[in-house]
Amino acid sequence: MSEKRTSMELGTVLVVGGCGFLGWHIVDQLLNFPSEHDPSAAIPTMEGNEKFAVPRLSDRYPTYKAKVAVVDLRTSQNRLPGASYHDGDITSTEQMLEIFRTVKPDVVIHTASPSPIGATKELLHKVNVEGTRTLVEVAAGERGDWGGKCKAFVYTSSSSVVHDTQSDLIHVNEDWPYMRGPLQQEYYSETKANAEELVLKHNKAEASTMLTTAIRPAGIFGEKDTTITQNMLDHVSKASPFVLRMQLGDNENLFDFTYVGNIAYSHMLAAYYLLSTYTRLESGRGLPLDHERVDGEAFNITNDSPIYFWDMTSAISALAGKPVEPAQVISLPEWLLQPIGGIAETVLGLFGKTPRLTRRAVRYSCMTRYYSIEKARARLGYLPIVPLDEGVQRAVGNYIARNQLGEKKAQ
Amino acid sequence: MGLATNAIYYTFHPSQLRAIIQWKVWHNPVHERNEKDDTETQKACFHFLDRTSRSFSAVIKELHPELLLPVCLFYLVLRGLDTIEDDTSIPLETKEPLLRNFKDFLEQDGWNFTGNRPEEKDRELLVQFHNVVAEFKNTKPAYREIIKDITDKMGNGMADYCRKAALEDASVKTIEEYDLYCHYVAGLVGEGLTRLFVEAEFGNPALLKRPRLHKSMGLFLQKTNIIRDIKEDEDDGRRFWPKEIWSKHVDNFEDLFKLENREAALNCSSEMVLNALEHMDECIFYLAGLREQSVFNFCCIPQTMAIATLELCFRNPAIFERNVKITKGEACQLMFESTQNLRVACDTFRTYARRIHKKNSPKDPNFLKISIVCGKIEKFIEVIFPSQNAADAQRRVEGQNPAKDEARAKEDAESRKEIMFMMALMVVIMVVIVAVMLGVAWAMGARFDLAWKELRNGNLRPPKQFAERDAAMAGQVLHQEL
Repeated sequence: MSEKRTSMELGTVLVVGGCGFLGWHIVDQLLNFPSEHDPSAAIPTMEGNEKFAVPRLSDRYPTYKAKVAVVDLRTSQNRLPGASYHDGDITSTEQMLEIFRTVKPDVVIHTASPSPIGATKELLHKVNVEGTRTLVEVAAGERGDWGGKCKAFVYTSSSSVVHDTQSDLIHVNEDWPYMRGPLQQEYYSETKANAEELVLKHNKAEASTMLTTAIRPAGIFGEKDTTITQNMLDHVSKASPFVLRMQLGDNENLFDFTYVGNIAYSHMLAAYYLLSTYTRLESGRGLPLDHERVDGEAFNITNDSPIYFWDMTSAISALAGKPVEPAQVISLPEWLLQPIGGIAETVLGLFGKTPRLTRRAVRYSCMTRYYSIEKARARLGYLPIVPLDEGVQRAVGNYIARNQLGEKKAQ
Repeated sequence: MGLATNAIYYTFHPSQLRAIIQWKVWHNPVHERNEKDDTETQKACFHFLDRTSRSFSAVIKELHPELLLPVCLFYLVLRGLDTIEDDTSIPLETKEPLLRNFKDFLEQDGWNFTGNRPEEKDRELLVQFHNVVAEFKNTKPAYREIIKDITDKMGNGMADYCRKAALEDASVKTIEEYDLYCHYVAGLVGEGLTRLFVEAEFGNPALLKRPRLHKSMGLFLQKTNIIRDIKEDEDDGRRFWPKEIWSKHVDNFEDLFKLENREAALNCSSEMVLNALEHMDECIFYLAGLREQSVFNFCCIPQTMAIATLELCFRNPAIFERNVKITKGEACQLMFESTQNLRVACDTFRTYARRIHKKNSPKDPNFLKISIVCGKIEKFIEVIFPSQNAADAQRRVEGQNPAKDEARAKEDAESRKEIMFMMALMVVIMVVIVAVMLGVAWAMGARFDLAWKELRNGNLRPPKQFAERDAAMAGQVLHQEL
């Protein structure tokens, strides 16, 4: 962990998808945590409860000097004071050009993507692949003049681009190939891989000097999370004590979960290194060595602390006040649950519904899936700043506080 | 345990009994020691080694001949220091200079010390210390230098500690102090041994460039002992658990032993286990740097024993009531697994990390941290022995069978061949047995020709006439008897 806080100058940064879950955290961090200093931007926390006591983020992450602008489909939610907000659709060249003309960004951080669950294939392709293509070409100044060219483009990819969503992945690095076509069962991952590839190919492309890089987060969670923590907590609050004791598989499978703030931080590191490479190239100095290169490269980003899959649910459940002792756990073997999931899928499928227990969900909670972050450590100097357990405290605390607030309002 | 309880225990744990038998029957030391050529002073040294520590003497005696005596002497010297430090009957004015000057006594012919109280277990070692001095002088200068240097550092460390204990409060407050204490009593031993190994070219010189690694080796063992001995130490009036840790769980240290605080005490002990487990990955890293089998065994056995002990102590309320110990069967199993290679040892480390994880309770405030540290051990083993590689994944994408699949197919074919061979062998054995049985029957007068004829006539049972005759004869016998 960094003992002394560094300072990073990033110029004008356009955060695409800046009102989303990760996007909001990136903006908050770029603005040096208004969520901690400005009461109007504060998010619900369990302050005063010892179980959720955590140190401040702003004392640990670097300080940033940046002008921040945000593009999102709708920017009415998740706004932070200090940034400028622009409604826009990344699949529309005209809308993007107009925003770029106003903002004139040096750096683009592209986090926008439809949720992997519930989006149609058409939408996934349209936003992830075509939207990214539009954005990267607009940024590079290839779709029309907006009065400048971006220097750095950081794309939020996904660690799932090398995963077929079936096999185990054990301490996997960036040398792994993309899983596409018949090998890839999750269309979302396929579109992320295609988009990542086209972004990385655009690095120093002809007629452009823009540098690109891709960040591949694994198992993102944190405050305002609508996927991992949300799903697990919804399960915990709805499930009966007996159901809470159920566990799929033997829980010896290590899994990467990553605190969102650390992922946000890695984007800033990437942007910082791209900018310094850019300056280097501009001034005519030589290229960085191959083993130091950040431009044109993809980076796995995790908390570097894989834990046993069900320990995450157990920890969340305990924080929410429903601990399950190890002796109470009923572990159901995967071979038994796969066919049950299959039957559930067929029967409910007849009624046009999806069951909570699907074969894919069974496999997912029984698989080993963790990554090596050696490359990010060596080239970006990345280390997770908020440890995993603190991340869980933050995420659960925020969820509970939000719900309590919701209940109060309802009364 | 008595004989009867032992018998019952091993009836229900046959694998442990098997491990004991296997170890006793099959274990051969890497280097056999030739006791015949030992001089009188050497004999005395080994005698004291046996007396001071049975577990250590066994592994030391199997060391490569080059290091056997230096390590034995190193151990005895440190034991001597320990015996002076532990003896509460020696006043500080006497004790302090003894500890600080101990390194010089090593080269004073005939030096011995008779000032220990009679109850001190290793008193005799110091009374006859001239044997150690005599052998020390015959040791290679390079080894002598290392032993002397560590004795110097440790003697001064102990003297500082005694001074602090006598004049102010020496209780271990912060985790930093706890690490420092463990460093003096065990970390320095790790340093000395590593320097000896590297000097003898049995260890990678890089081990000395990363002092954290050998420090962790010592700290892991010492911390395990401190956790296991909590009750014994408390009874003897010694406390090593740092206040920084226990004060998070109880108000007073003695509250740890009260029944009503069991939950808090268990959480406290699991934080201590967590603190010790943080060293595990560096210990594995260290073991990877050893180049000689007997040295590997010497270092690996205590480490696997330690993680097994930690697993036994983890969330075990018994540690606050009595001294817990791993069973003999488990110890033999561990020794067997620690004397092969790093891969086998890593499997053991992983097994115990998973067992600790299985006992981890979400009610424990350090639940996730413990899960993380177990994951860290597993991940580190993956770094040394990766189970997947990018080339295989690449081949899969290109539609080829990864090399592993080919190897597996080959293995499968081989095992099929083996099964076929086994079945053929069974058939042959059956044929031979049937032939022998028929042959014996024939030799004893069996009429196969008649039997065959009857069978061909479709009579599968003995003819009726025989049956009737038998019945009639039986009737006659009956009548006669009446």
